[in-house]
Amino acid sequence: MKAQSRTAWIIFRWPLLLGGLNIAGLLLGLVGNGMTDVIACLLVSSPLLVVAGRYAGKRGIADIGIPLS
Amino acid sequence: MGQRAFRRWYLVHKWTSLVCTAFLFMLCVTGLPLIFHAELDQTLGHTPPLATVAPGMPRPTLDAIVARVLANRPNEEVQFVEFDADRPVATIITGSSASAPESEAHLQPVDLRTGRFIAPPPRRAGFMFWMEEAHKRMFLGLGGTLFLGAMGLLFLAAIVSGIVVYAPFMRKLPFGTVRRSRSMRLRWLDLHNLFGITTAAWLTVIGLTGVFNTLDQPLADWWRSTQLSAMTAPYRDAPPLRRVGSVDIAIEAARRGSPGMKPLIVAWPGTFFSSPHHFNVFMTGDTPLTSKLLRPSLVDAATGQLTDTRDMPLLIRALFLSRPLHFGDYGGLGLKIVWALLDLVAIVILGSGIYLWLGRKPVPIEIRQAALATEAVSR
Repeated sequence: MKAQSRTAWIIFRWPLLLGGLNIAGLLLGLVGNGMTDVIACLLVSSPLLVVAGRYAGKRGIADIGIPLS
Repeated sequence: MGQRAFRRWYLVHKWTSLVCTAFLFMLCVTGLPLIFHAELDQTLGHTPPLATVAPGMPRPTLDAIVARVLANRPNEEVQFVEFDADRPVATIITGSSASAPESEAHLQPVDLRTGRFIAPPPRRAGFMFWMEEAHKRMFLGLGGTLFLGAMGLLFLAAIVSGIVVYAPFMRKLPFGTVRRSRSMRLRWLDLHNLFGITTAAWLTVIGLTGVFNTLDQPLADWWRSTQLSAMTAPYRDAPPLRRVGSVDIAIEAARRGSPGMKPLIVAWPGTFFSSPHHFNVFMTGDTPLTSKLLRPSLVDAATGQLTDTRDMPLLIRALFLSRPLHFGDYGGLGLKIVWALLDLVAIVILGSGIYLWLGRKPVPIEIRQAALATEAVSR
C-alpha cells in the first residue's frame, strides 16, 4: 500500500466531527428532556460507537464503506 | 511540524501524563460509582421508600416539623433545610450552633406529607462516603481538592499535547487504524491513539469541569464576600435578631419574589450562606436547565419580608452547570451508562499510556517516529 502524507484537515476531520457530536450531545442533555435526552445519549456515545466498531471489526472502518480518509 | 517542535510536544505529553496518571486513575475508579450515586443510594437503602398516604390528609407545616426536630435535639440550632428535588422529603440539618462545621452537623430527613421522621443516611461512613471523599478531597480537605485541581490542569495539558502529537503519528495512517498484525506495542499505541482522539472532547469537558469544581469552596467564599455582602448591606448595623420567625412565611415570601420557582435549600440566619438577620431561600427553576441553578432570596427573619433576590453571578452559575457535566447525572440512566463506559475507556487510555512508557525503547523519539512512518508504509 502506498501511504501518502495527509494534511491536518484530513487527519483531524473525523476526530473534529466526533468531538462536535459529543459536545452537542452534552449540551443537548443539559437543556433537554425526554426525547432530547435520548438523542443526547446517542450523540455522547458516538466515540464509543466508533471505538466499538473499529475495535470489534477485523478491518478498518474505511474498509466497510465509510470514506474516512 | 518540525522535529524540534514535535519533540517538545512529545515531552509535554509524556511528563504531564506521567505526573497525573496515578491520580487520574484514582479519579476514574472512584468516579465510576459516583455516576450512579442515586441508584446506589437506593440499592444500599439510604433512600427508603415512603409510606402511602391517604389522599386529602393535612400536611404539617415546616415550622411544626422543625420544632419537632429541635425537640429531639434541644441543644442544637437549625442550619439548613434541604428539599429533595424528586420526593416530598426535606432534610433538617442541625448543629451545635448556626455556624458549626458541616462535619458536626446532624441530618434528619422528614416526610413532608406526614411529618414522619425517616432513617437518616449514614453520616461520614459507608462506601459512597469513602468514594466521594477520595474523589473530591483525597481525605485532605480543601488542600486535597486544590491539589486534584492542579492534577486536572496537567491532565488538560496532556490532552492538548496528545492531540498535537497525534498528527505526526497519523500522517500516513487512515483514521482508526489498529495494526493488529504488528507488535503488541504498536497495537497498543494505535489503540491509545484511537481511544484518546475519539474521546478527546469528552475528556476535555470532564477535565475542565473537574478543575472548575475544585474551586467551589473559593468561589463560595467569593460569592459570600461580594453578592451576598451587597444584598445584606442594609442590615450591617441592625440590632441582633431576637427571635427567628416562621420559615413557612419566609418560603412564601420567596415564592412570591420568584414566580414559577420552588425552594431547594433554606439557610437559617447566622449560617455561612445567609446573614445574622435573614433566611436565605435558594429557589430553583422547573426546566431541565434552570433546575440546576439556584437563586438566593433573602427574607427578613423577624418580619418575613423579602428584602432582596437576584440571579447569581455568571461564574457561580457556570459552577452549578459544571457539576452535572462532570458527573453525567443529568440525562437519565442511559447517559449515566454511556458516561460509565467513557470512564472505562479513559482508564484504558491511562493504562495503555503507562504500558507504552514502560515498554519504551532507548532510542530517540525522532527515530521512533520515522520507524512508525516506515511501518505504516510497509504494512
